[in-house]
Amino acid sequence: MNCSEWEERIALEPASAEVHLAECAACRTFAEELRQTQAALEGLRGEEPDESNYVELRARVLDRVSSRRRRVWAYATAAVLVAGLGISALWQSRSPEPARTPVVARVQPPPEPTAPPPAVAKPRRLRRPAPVAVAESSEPIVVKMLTDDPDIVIFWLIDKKGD
Amino acid sequence: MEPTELALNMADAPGGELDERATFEQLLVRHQRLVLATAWRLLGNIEDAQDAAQDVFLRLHKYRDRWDESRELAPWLYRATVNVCQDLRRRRVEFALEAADELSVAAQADETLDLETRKRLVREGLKTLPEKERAAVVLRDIEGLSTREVAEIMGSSEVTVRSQVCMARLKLKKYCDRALRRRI
Repeated sequence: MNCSEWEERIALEPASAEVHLAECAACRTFAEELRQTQAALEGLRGEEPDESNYVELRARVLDRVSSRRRRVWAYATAAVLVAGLGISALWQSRSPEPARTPVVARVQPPPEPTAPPPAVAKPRRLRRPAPVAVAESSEPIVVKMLTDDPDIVIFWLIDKKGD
Repeated sequence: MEPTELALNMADAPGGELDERATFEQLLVRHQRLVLATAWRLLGNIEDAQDAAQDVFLRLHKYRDRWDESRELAPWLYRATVNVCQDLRRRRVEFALEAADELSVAAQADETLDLETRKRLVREGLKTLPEKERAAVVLRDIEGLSTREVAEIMGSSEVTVRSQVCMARLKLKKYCDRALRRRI
């Protein structure tokens, strides 16, 4: 084993090279310099950052933790709001349309005959009224007709075709 | 290694958010030296060490629910600190350039290289070491961990750690020798 190889051994386990050190001046010098460097290295163990650095570190970390928590709450609140709006919209789209208020028409009773009817003219043919556009809906339109007799009410259901 | 009983289950802390914060603050106080001092030795300046230590503790807070109390926290903190410092150092392009300052000690008039001066040289020399050698020698010789503990932290074998520590010590000695020769 040459001195270069001994140096590695001295660097790792100085005690294991005692025999060689006793007979090699160069390696003894190397070992002494290494010992001083090693003492300096281990001397760094006693060096600590100032207390103010620890205070600053704690403040920074706790501040970040708090802001992270606030951010999480904000996201959670926003998510709940969005979910609530979504559920509300879905509910409205699925719920039945509000009940239609029936159209109320009053039917006048026929007038009392006071005079003989005039000569009957050729009855005019009534034109069928143009169909009223009915809103696209599966629900029939309900027409409620009131008569003078409160016990008689006529309901007229008009389906999509106008029948 | 600092013996650490992990009590991270802050979610179960009574009293909710305030108690959780207090528990985490206790955790910070208990481990701040380990993290900040190690980061400082690995990075060489306190500003970067603060950034690294903050990152480590935020990771700890993020994963706090995944810990079980039977595990020791110190090895995880050392490993996280070493990793964060390596990441940070890679981002600091100018880091290597700081070593150009290395021989400033040569201008000193002292005839003898006292311990304080040598410590300063060693600090500067640490910055010139490859990442893994620096981490190994910091954990082994400055933090005082065993070779086995260092190997576990760094995820390598004890043989590898021994080799890294050996190389680091030799390079640090060489660094100090060069500084001495410049003085003469």
